[in-house]
Amino acid sequence: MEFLTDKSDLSRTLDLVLNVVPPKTTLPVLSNLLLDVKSDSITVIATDLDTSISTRLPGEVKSAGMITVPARRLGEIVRLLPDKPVRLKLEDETRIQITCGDTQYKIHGIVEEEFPKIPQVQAREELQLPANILQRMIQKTAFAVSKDETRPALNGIFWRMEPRKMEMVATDGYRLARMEQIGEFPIKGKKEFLVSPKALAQMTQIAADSDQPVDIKVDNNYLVFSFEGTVVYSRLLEGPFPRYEQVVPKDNKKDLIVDRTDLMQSCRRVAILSDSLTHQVQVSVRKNAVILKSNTPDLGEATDHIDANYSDEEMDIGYNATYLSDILKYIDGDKVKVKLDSPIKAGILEPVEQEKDEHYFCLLMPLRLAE
Amino acid sequence: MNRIQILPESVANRIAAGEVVERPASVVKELVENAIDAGATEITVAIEDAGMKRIEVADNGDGMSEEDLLLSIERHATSKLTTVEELSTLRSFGFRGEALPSIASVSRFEIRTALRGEDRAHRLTATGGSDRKVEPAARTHGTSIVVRSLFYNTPARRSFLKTAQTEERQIRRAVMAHALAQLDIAFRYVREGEEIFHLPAGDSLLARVTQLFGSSLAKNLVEVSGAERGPVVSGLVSNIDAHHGNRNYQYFVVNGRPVQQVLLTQAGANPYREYLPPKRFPALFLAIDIDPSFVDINIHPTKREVRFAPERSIFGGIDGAIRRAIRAERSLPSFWMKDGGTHGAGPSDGGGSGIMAPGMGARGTGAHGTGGSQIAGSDAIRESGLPLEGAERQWTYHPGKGGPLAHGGPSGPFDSHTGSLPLPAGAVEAAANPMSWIHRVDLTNVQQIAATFLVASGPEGIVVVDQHTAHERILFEETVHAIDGRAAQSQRLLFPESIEIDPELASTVEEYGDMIEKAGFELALGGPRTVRLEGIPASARGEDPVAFARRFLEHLAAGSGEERTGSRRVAASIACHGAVRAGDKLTREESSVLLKRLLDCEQPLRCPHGRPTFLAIDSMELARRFLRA
Repeated sequence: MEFLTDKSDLSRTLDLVLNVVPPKTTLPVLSNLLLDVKSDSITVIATDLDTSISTRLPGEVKSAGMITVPARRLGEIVRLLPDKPVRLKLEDETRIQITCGDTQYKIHGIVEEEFPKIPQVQAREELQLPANILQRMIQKTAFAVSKDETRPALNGIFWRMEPRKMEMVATDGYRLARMEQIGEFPIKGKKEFLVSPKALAQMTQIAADSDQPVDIKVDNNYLVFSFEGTVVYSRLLEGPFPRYEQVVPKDNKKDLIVDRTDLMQSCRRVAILSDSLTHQVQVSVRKNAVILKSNTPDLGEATDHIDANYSDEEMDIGYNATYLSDILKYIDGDKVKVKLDSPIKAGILEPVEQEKDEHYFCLLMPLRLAE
Repeated sequence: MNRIQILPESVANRIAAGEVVERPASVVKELVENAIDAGATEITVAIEDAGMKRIEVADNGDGMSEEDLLLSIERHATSKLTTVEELSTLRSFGFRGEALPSIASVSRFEIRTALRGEDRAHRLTATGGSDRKVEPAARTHGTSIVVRSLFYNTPARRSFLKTAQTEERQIRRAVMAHALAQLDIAFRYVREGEEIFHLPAGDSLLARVTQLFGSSLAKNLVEVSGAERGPVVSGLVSNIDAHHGNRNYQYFVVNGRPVQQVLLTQAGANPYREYLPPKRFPALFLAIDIDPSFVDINIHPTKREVRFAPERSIFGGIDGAIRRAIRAERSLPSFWMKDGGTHGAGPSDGGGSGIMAPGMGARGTGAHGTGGSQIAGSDAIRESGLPLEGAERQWTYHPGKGGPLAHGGPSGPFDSHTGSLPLPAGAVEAAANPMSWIHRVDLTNVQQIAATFLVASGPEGIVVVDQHTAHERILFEETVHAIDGRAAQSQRLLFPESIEIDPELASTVEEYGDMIEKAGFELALGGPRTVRLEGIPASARGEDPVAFARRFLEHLAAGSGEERTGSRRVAASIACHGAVRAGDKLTREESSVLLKRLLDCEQPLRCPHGRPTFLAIDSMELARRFLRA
């Protein structure tokens, strides 16, 4: 196995695949990248068994072959190489020689037989979606995914496809983010998957801001994205995702409209003196004003007033400040609308003006305030 | 012919003996009490063959006249009581007039006595209560009673006795119980001709405890004193680091009278529940002074048990006094290098035979496995003359500095505590006040190890925290406060869940309903077999809320054998199941919050189940480890 490539191409490829390499693993070969060199192509593959990525590396093949190389070690080496052509050559069974200008390394790899096979996907469904739309939907929802491993059904983004709309939903049980995109999608019937946010983040990175289409294939176990020579394979998560539609309040008729940046900054200011474990702030909704307060014995108290549009019943609601400011970060536009009902019911937060063909909202459950 | 007859006196005495004189130790107890009542300032107890062969109790008290001597072994003859009314205000030990006749009826009995200020002494002898003889004898003032061949005429009683070791231990306990109650009386205890202890009159309680149980136990005691109201509770109790496998180190004195009572044991153990591991017990040496009219001492012939009128106030008084004492004392767990066992914590010798004779030097009593401190450790190493390299090294978890007593104790075992390491003054100072430096660790840089421990360091040392027990402690205190005051913050669930429960859990929900809600759970009975979960305590973390709620209820229902009061029980159940687990990854911010909150706790050293929350290794300790001595 031997090929030539550019330092910059190699560097970019490694940036892309290194995210998939698990930080620590009981299976040593997963710390390596598979170099699959054919007479006309060089493919670099990484996997953590749940998510795999395979991408093409431009270059000139001298001889075909396969080997796995330590991923992070190779990354370190390449980062400091001069900006010149790089030659990778398998010297014997596992030793790889890396030459660039006057610099030469010899590192040990692991034979490719030990590297897990890339899943074979028999597409049940195939479609194309513009990369930027996909990216936007992922970005607006991924933050709400639960990181709690004891709740696997909440560890993914719920993705539902229908011929005329597509939605992504994520929740950790206390807050929820839902993005809906209206359009024409080449789907037969309704399809639902639970996808790991890690795979979706990979996808966002490779298709960064492009309006080119992403190829999507789904079978019973995998979701596969392909974009310009890079393929991401993601094992689908097991649900069931909770029936979230049932908890979206329909009677939240009290609309509070407030400047998004004002509310976010106010929330952060007041949060400094909130309880360090619960982050509770009290949001007092008054006529055309919102007062945020925190009061923690031993710590002190903080108060902040902001202007708002509100004319309904006044109320005091407790929220987790971190959750509230997280949500405000992802809502577009200057103004945010908070639809309220009572201090113990979920609040709905959404942009006052939705983007075209889009419907986005977040739910936030309150913290009970002490009487 | 009348069927009912008055029993002959000899029979009545033997029946009474069955109640009063159960075993040799009860003889010793009765005789020592008589000696105390006689105003003795020096009492010697000498026994042979666990008291079966011979018991002698000699005092320097008032003594008896010839007439009194004859009356003394008559039933219900007493010098201490004449009317029923006096019973309720009585402060003397005996009053029933049963002891001497009873003992005399089951032994070969001898009294030798002389009144104070008289040069004539008399001797009374009796066998099985009869064949009484009084004759002149020689003795200075006071009384000696010799009991030989106990139970010689009641073989059944004899066969009920335990092994000689057990009976001897009971005797020793009886003498120690009085020695701990009467500090102004000198006590001498002689076994088979060998003096086991000799306690001078006017000792402090600490000095007596040290003499009787060794300095390693004494070092880990803190002082209890004062009362908010009700009974006055004073004495010495274990700090939270020292605990024992049994209740052998618990002595209670009520109005000067040694007493064994479940209520007292429970009240004494209660403050430790959240600190000590299961099946471990504190040492308690407590004197309770209470209006005599609140105590009924006449419920048991041996007066070993008493009854208190306001049980609640006794319980609360003891519980509160100990809590204040152990809270004030902030000892710090640490590591120290254990030496070869010559000093300090040696292997257990089991049955409390580690009592030292005077003059034997400060040999640690092995029974107190956790005794000693890091300072004591280094002293021990120095004293033993062993170079560190030569010592058998073992990394052991050990409690840190002794309590305030270790610094302010009267003399002897407590006089050296600073070691002699060439360290900057600040380090020594820091070590002397361990809790202070802990607050100077860098909380912005807390590292997580193995997703289980948190490590922070400061200029004076390193702190290692167990994230689970630390969070447990935080949640526990927070929940206790929430239930007693402003309700805890509750995070409402987006997906309320119905949980199937059995009737036992349902009744737990009913019983603890208000507390559960104040603790932060939004949990409502939805029928006989379901609860609806709408919110969980906001400070809890991890775990699926349904699993959390279910485990919490199960823990609460089972109580895991914990006899806690309601709010503490609810709090412990929440702490146990709402805390982060070992293996949970924490962000740097979460780690730092956890450590900070732990240090802000009232009692940060233990989780509610008694496991340690953190270890501190100060610069002195490090110096010792690197042999910079």
